[in-house]
Amino acid sequence: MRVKPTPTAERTVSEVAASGRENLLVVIGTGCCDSTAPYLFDNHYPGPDVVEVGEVSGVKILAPAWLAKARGEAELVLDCEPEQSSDSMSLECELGLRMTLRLAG
Amino acid sequence: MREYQNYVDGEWVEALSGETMDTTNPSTGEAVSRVPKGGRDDAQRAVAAARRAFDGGEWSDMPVERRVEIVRDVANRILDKVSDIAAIETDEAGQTIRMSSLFGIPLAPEHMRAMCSTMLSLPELEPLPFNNYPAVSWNLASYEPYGVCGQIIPWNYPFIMAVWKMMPALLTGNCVVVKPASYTPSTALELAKIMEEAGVPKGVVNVITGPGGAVGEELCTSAGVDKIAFTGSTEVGRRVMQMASGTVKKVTLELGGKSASILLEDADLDVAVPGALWGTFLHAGQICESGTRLLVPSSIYDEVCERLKAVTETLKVGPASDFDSDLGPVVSAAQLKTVMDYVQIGLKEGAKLLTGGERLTGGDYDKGYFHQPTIFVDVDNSMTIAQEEIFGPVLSVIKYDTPDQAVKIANDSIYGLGGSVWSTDIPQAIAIARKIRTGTVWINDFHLINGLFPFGGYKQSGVGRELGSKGLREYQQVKHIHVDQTPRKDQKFWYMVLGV
Repeated sequence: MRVKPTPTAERTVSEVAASGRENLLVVIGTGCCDSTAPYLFDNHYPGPDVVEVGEVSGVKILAPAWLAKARGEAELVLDCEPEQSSDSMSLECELGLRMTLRLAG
Repeated sequence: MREYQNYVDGEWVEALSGETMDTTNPSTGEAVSRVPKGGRDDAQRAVAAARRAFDGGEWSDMPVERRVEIVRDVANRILDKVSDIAAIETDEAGQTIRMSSLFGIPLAPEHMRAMCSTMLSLPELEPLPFNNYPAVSWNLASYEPYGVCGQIIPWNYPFIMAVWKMMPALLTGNCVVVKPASYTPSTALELAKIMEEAGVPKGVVNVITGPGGAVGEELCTSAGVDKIAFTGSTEVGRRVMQMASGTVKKVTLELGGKSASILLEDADLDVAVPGALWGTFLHAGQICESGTRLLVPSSIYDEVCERLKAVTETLKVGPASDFDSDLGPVVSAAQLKTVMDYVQIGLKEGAKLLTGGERLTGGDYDKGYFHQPTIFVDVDNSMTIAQEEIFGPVLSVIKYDTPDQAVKIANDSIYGLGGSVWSTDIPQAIAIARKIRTGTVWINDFHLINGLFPFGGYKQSGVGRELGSKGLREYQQVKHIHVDQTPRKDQKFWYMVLGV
């Protein structure tokens, strides 16, 4: 599983970093209402069993090892879309945006 | 379009910023409601109101019988408004009107009545076992409210989830600040209106709409909040837990699921096949404990698949407000795209489509987010579609050879929320149910959550329980009271340890 960011995702993460948030990471989370989705958090412990699957603006993109294994060689795209009312607690939501994870191509 | 205000300290108020946000009908793409776009300052105002109400004692010191009376009154008032609330739930959450008016909303007052009767059966002060070491003492457990509870509600069952969180908190004497989901905030605000009419004192119930990043984060980190309850994704649950750790809050979480239905060889297929579909496709699969993996013995695999296909292809997908629709839309354009991506992933990984697999388009379908009920066969449990929660109308059918193998497959998941066993041999079904590492197992049914019984997750599906006596106790601290029975100093030989 490899995740590549779009220029929009790069800009968004840079903007969040510039706002003063520290120790950023993107973690691919799973389950319930959000299904599998990316989250941009600061000072966050993503669990003991994560692997690096990409990088966006100098910030690591992590995924649970079981998820990375299940997705095999899949190439995914990290993007950002306008979203005014996200409940994800992901930090880009403060900018009225929400990260998405989509199949490449 | 309906317009709402937030409910804080017994008043209906706009967001301090004056900002608003609109909700969208997933069947039509049209705006449904306009609500305040609350921020951290609104959440702080609500927490302060709840704190004052709790510390004032009007609610927490009220006899439990009176609190039960008020909650029962709220339940009766909900029953009078079932069709109105159901219509809003259908407009915002995309629950079919058949589901919201016959199942989703009417269950709420039923669950409330169950909570009330359970509450009255739980002692507030409980004698503990006899103790005579180092000397005789009487010992009591006192069950007491935490104080202010922050409660974050998901969008799939917005009304009943608000009930599941608010009512146990209130019955046990807590005050609440509720953050409904931003897609579906209206019915929680309707519930607040009903509670105001029923005479719940001001500040006891506060409802703040606004994005999770602002309102939710404030509730999780605030020193004024004593307990946080959250239903939603596993990663956000992990985030909630970490944010709550700063003030060492009590946390309960109900998170993701990838529940397995184990169909045994002796199952009555006339019940099990529609039952498995009921377990999967209700609310277009947007239920955390949905049975999205169906495990079928090799000996009857082909027959079961044939029956699944035949029944599924009779299901009508349509606007949620149409009483003839069996499935409505998924909640948003983003969720529809997610479901479509998973179908592609399933095909790429080698699963075969038995039926469905497409977005529905043309005519009114183009206005909303509709997807065919979809069944994959020849699924291996290691495939993405069998491991990840899709939160859409997608069922994976997995073959097994022995019941032990079925249990192993069922447990091969990071989740453990629900599940089912389908069999005519009930002792065998119970034995298998006990081996599944999951919070609820239905035998020969699915989704029948009851207010009398606990609901929650094993593994990464959550922490704590909702409903039943366990669910009520989650909102209470336990205090041990020791009553000394050695009145004379010379009886207290342990004082000599200090030499006093």
